[in-house]
Amino acid sequence: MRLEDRWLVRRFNAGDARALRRIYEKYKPDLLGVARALLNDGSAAEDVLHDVVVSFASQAGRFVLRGSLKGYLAICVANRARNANRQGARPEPCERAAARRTHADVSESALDEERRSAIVAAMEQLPEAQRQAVALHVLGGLRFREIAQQSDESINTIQSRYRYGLKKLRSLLNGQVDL
Amino acid sequence: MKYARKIKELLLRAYRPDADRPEPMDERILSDANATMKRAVADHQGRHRIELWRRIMKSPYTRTAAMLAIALAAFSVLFPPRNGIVPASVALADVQKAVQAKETVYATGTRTITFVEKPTFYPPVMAGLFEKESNEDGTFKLEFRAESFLSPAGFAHKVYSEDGELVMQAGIHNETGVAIVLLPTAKAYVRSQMLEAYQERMAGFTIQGFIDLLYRTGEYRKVGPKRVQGVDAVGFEVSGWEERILEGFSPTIIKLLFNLEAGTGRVWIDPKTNLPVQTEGEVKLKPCVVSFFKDATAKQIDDNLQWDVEIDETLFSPEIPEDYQELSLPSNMTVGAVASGVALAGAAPWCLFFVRRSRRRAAARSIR
Repeated sequence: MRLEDRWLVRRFNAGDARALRRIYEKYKPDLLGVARALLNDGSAAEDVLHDVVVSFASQAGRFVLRGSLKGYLAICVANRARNANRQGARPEPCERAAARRTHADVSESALDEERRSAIVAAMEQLPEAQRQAVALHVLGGLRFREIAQQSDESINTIQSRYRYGLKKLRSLLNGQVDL
Repeated sequence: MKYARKIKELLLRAYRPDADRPEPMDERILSDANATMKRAVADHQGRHRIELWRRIMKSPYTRTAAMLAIALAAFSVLFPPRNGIVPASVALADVQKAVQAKETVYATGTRTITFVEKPTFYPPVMAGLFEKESNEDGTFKLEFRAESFLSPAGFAHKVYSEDGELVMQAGIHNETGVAIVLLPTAKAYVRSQMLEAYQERMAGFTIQGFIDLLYRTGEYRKVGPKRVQGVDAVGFEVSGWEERILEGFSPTIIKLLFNLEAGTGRVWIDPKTNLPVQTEGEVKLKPCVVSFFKDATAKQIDDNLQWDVEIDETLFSPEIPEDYQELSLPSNMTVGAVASGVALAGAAPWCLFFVRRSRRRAAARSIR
């Protein structure tokens, strides 16, 4: 994985469009998942993904890979999503409900609408730091060490946030979803 | 921790898109990202090229290499692998005396640099030279006409493209130590005060020094006679001289900056006057700074030599047109850049003949 990423980054730095496409296709599901979890808005999540990929592309020729590429991109998504939330770009509750319905299109056949709504609502109630730790670890597939390195926090802090986040989700979902 | 696994599954199913399912946004994002990437790579390559050239040219090694380039070019003109009849009528010492007795020289000739493939790494101000296509066999050739002017007051050199357009004019004024290079096609110039120590080292590379070296080693050959420029000329030829001339310099530095594989030089002497009537030089370069990091062969022929002509000394301090832009290069870069550029163009040989001395100013024909 790392080897392929290094090769992709080398080709990307040389301006190879195929390498950029491969990076995008390889990590899009993780990145979009993180963005959706942190923003709860399908179109805003796509905008964040767009900005992150274009910003990454602007570093072509001089991008130096430190750590994992996925980790780097996922943290970029998380940071942009946090900024978007702080700037008030987060949609109002009714819009979020609409956004949820949009999400439902993606996985309606696989997930019961009621359970999906419950988990989305529960995620929204998590403190931002906990939600980010849960999203990056579960949806971004990052290890705690990677999250800690990329976000300049200690690994214990990240693990604690994740643990508290899961516990809170459990208590919020209690009675709504069979755990 | 069963609940943790259950929550993870729920999260993945709620938020993670289907990886195999393309979405309308994909092409939009990739299109924007591609355009941005292309621009970024082009910008970066431009900046990187300039920075790298600056770093190379700022290096003291470059100055040493530039000086060597000039010395080697001069050497190649004087002496160059071929056995031949050795006429006794002309001796090296006679040539030495005859050349020393002359005050000025004006020379014209051709410069050809053939690269095994088109260089991609060159200073931005030289970009115009590399716009044309490669040859069918993949090689890339640059051809120039050149004029050289030399007197005790300085050295001037003009290089013209195949179309007759002036692409470079260089002047070095000995008294002030100011070197000016004009690049008309780029409407740019470089002006530099040569360092004293550098001038002193330059001054040591004279024809006398080379002839002394040849006497010491005795590894030159006389060739000819051959009909050259209307006279039965005698040739002095030397090959493999690059190793001797580079004695005392670090091989690593030389290979980086001036990686010579083999060089031959030949000078044809008129037995009646003991003066050169034609000079020829050829050197093979492995990838290095002065060959733009490609294998290359540089050839120079000066087939029109005029001695003791009157030379307009303003050529050594050319006037800089008002609309020209100064290339903002580090001061110590310019010395190396000027010298390297001039040497690579094969301009240097004649400037070394008279660097150290001034005996008499002959009244002679005017060429301007």
